[in-house]
Amino acid sequence: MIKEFICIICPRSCKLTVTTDTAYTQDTADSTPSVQIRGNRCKRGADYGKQEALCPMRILTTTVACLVSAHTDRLACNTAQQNDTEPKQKHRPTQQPGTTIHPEPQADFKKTSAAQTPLTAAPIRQVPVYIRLPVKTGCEIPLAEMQTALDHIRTISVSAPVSCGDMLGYIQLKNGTAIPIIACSNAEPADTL
Amino acid sequence: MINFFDIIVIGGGPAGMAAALAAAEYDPQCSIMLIEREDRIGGILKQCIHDGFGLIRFQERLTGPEYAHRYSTMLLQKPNITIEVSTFVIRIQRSDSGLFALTFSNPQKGIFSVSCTALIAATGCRERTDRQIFIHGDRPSGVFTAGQAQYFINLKGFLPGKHFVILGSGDIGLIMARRLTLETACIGGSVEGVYEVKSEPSGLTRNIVQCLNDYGIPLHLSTTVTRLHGTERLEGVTVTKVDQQLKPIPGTERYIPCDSLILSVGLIPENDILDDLAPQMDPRTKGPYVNQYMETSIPGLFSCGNALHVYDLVDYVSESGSIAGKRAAQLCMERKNGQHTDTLTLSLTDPAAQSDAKSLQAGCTADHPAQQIHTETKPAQEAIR
Repeated sequence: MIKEFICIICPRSCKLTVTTDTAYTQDTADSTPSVQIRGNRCKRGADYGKQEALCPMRILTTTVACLVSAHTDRLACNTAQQNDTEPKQKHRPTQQPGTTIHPEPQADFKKTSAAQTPLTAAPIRQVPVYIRLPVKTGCEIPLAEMQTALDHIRTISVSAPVSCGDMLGYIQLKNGTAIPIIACSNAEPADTL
Repeated sequence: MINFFDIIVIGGGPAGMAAALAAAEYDPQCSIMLIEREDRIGGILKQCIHDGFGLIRFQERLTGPEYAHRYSTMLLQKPNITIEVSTFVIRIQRSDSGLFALTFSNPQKGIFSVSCTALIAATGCRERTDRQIFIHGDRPSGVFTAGQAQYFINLKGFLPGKHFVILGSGDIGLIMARRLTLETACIGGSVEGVYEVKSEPSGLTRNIVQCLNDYGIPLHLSTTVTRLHGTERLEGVTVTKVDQQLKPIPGTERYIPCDSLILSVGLIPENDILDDLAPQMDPRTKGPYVNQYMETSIPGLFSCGNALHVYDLVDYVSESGSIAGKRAAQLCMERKNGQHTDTLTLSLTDPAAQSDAKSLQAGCTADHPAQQIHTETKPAQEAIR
């Protein structure tokens, strides 16, 4: 059987012609001498052509969620309070004198209610902050399994600190092989993008 | 605070990092400041999470962030490199003595000035937008450049849409076709196809293979988007076949429903920051003219990477940065030792370099004959005055 491919190993894009026996399968791949590759300008092209005829393999790159910090989100709380059905004004008189850090707002300021409540009056809430951490599969995986692998990697979530090259988890291929997921970048705590 | 550096590099992307590194390696006594406007160095590599970088530079297939990581690790080991992030250049001036005075702004230091002997502009390029390719229709949301879409997905974790049409077969467009196909599959999204106005794809062949063919994404050549539909959000596009003069052929229009249009229609070197210095610019590349050391018509001002002209491989971007960085360090050393000769004059006395300069000039004479001869026959510094 003759198949034609374009080598994607490097930008030279060699046109490969791969001639194989029809019986060329995973079991015979190592031993068979009957695979002929023409058009390659380096050894990597020969390896690529051989593999491409058998089962196309690719590196998968994507991102995972990486927790970098829990920051204080006062603004989000203020917004939440605005949505409260209870008017903000009712809270004011019940506040103990001296608990407010800021001086009492001006009279005309009071009228405008929740939208202009001093920030310190809002409760403080810790909000987790995630960045996207670039990752790749530790080796090539079958092209046919890209989608399932990606959907699995998407469920991975890690916490900073992460170093480039760290192993973040595994994905299981259909043939049972476990493929490591490798971080492609550093992530420091409180690192934001 | 130090207000003088031998070399200032503007831009912490692949070209700028390579320039700073090469200068630091050439002369460990040379003081270098690397300026980056984002809060981390790495430039566009940070969002290019796909692999294929570094085959020439490192003989390895790396992803963009890994390539950036290699360089930033090497930079941090150099004690003579100062890196300033979240820093913008506000103004560049050149004194009569040939020193550059730069004004920066930065959240910690406010506005501050630093001068330098050599200045390396590694400011990269920008994508052409929908406004620059004149597509008819309203201005609905949902029209993104490929780099914008890449930023949203890879750095921010947002999908910019669900059903995509890609216009232009530049490399980023092809890479995004694959990325969007994989990322939208779980929500029933799709990439309808890639449309290219020219009769040949503009991206690398390997990207056509591994991004389009691998995922069965059709590539329509000699076809372009002629109209956007929708007012608030994009609802669809009209694609039309074009003739050999790239003029749309009436009657070949086809409507494609989609909510997002991704543009990968070319990159333009970003050199606005050099306007005040006014180096001679090549109207074709939109970058400055440089000699074989990446030095522009202004002595001491270097340009490298995509700011000079758009490269297809990051390895070559880094290489151009290295050349500029090394020469800049050489220049500073010469100035310190009081043996400075103008690079351009130097290049013209060297027989090998002379032929280079002539061939460079031969390419330029058509556009600016008078200016070029002027530069050639006189020392560059005089030509500028």
